[in-house]
Amino acid sequence: MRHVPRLGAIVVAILLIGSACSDDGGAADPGPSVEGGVDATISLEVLDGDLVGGSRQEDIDIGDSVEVIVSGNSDDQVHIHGYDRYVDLVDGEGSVSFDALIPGTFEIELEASGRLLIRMTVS
Amino acid sequence: MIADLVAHGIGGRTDLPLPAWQLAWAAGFSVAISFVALGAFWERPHLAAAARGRALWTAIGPTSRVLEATAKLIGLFLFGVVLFAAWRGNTNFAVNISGDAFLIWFWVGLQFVSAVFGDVWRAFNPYFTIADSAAWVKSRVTQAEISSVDHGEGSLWPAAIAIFAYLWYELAYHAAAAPRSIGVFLTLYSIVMLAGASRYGRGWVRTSDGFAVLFSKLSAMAIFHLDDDRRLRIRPPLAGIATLTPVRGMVPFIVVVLGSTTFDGFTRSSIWFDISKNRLGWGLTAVHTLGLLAVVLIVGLAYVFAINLMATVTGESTEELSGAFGPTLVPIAAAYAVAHYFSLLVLDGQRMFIQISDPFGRGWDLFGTKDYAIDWLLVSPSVIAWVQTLAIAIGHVLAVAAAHDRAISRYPHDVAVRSQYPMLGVMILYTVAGLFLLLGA
Repeated sequence: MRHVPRLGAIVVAILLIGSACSDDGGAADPGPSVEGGVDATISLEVLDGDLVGGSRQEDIDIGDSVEVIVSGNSDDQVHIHGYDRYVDLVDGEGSVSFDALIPGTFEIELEASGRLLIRMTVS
Repeated sequence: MIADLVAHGIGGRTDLPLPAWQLAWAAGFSVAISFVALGAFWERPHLAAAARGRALWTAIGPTSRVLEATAKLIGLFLFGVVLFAAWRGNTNFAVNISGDAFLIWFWVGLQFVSAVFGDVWRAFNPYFTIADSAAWVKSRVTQAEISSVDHGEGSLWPAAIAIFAYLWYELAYHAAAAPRSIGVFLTLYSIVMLAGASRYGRGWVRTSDGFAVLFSKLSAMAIFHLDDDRRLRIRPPLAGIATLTPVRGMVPFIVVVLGSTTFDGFTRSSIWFDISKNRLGWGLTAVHTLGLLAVVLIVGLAYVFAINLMATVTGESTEELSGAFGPTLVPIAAAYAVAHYFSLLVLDGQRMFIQISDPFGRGWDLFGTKDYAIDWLLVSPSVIAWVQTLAIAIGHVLAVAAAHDRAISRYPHDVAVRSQYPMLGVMILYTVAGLFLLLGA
């Protein structure tokens, strides 16, 4: 029982830390995106089924209008998971635009080979 | 053809990392509660007395027989649909019901249902139905009395191996979501289960079907249970943990489940991204297999270390202690499942509304839900983060409470308190590690 005051202090301190910081825990409001404009571009150069420079992480602000532009020489299909958008590559090229309204981390990959290209975090 | 090669699990969406302050909050809360548990928790065991609960309904008579038969038929029917979809349906997992039905609704959904409500799967399990029917036919043919089933007294090692086989398939194999892969896995798993039942008797399935064992152990936390006289009873959550008797293989079983969920969390981290990003196909499977084995081993070694320390305090054998305290890890397993798979169930799980209208991906629209649009914003990131944080924190509290209750019922108060230091240590380790993985660092 003699532990109780000290424990109380710890619990109170933890709760204070929690409430003091909880403002940034709320859902981010999708910001206004410019009509027709593009806020973020993800450029991918895919040569012989590999992403030039290797797989990488891309961070996108929620609500942004995103354009994925693919160039190179692979006739595959690029799949943006979660958003379920596909880019059919013709002579290695293709592009797709979407509004980043779904928060989370999503894989962008070459559909046929399963090669992971981008890990896209929308937050 | 293309989807056969898809090199990832279901969905390709993962949660945003947990904010650091929230992690600190949950970790601090868990540690604080653990220390309260040492001194100020109850001084007499309570769970065993509460585990029986209040009788609601006696499952004997025609109504119960009709319900039972219906559940069995539904279980067989759903199993048949999933197996048929896997082998004969569209090869794109997004329009084939088998992936989401097996990997999301069966695996994740039933873990949640079992831990909250009870061992529902027992009524539907097609392996039980097939093995029981075969035993009945055999008794008719041979004029012998039908063999009885012992419930859960056998070693759980076969179940630990079975659930590891599944978890390897789900988390390490590179094409786990592809319908044909699911067909192969389910077929092999079913052959092993039914061959075992025919070789060792139908009781064998009860202790060897990894899914059935997991759902049944989780249901010890649940509010409903069926007693030996077939009475449906309601009881406080968690109380049933006290009724889990020591069974050989119980600890390895739980460690495999805990370690695998931990590994699944680890694969979302940027560390793992760097390790695995340039690997494909079986190369990816190989790296995942090593990672999975390593994490399960670490989780297991932490437990063995704690049990050995505990043995020096109480003077009992480590085997005895493992049997006695292994069940108290069940709430942590449930908490990990909720923290890692809650969003998968409520977000990706919505695809089921579309798929029930066209289970084999042939362009049908049986229930008019073909065009249902998945609401990816059904739960916000902050709701998901809070569910994760609270699941881990509450799971930890429940595990500590269950272990405390066990210790109090076995030892004098001062020994009970001292014996709990190592167990609390390992539980804090699991909890904080579980939280860190949610940071996605």
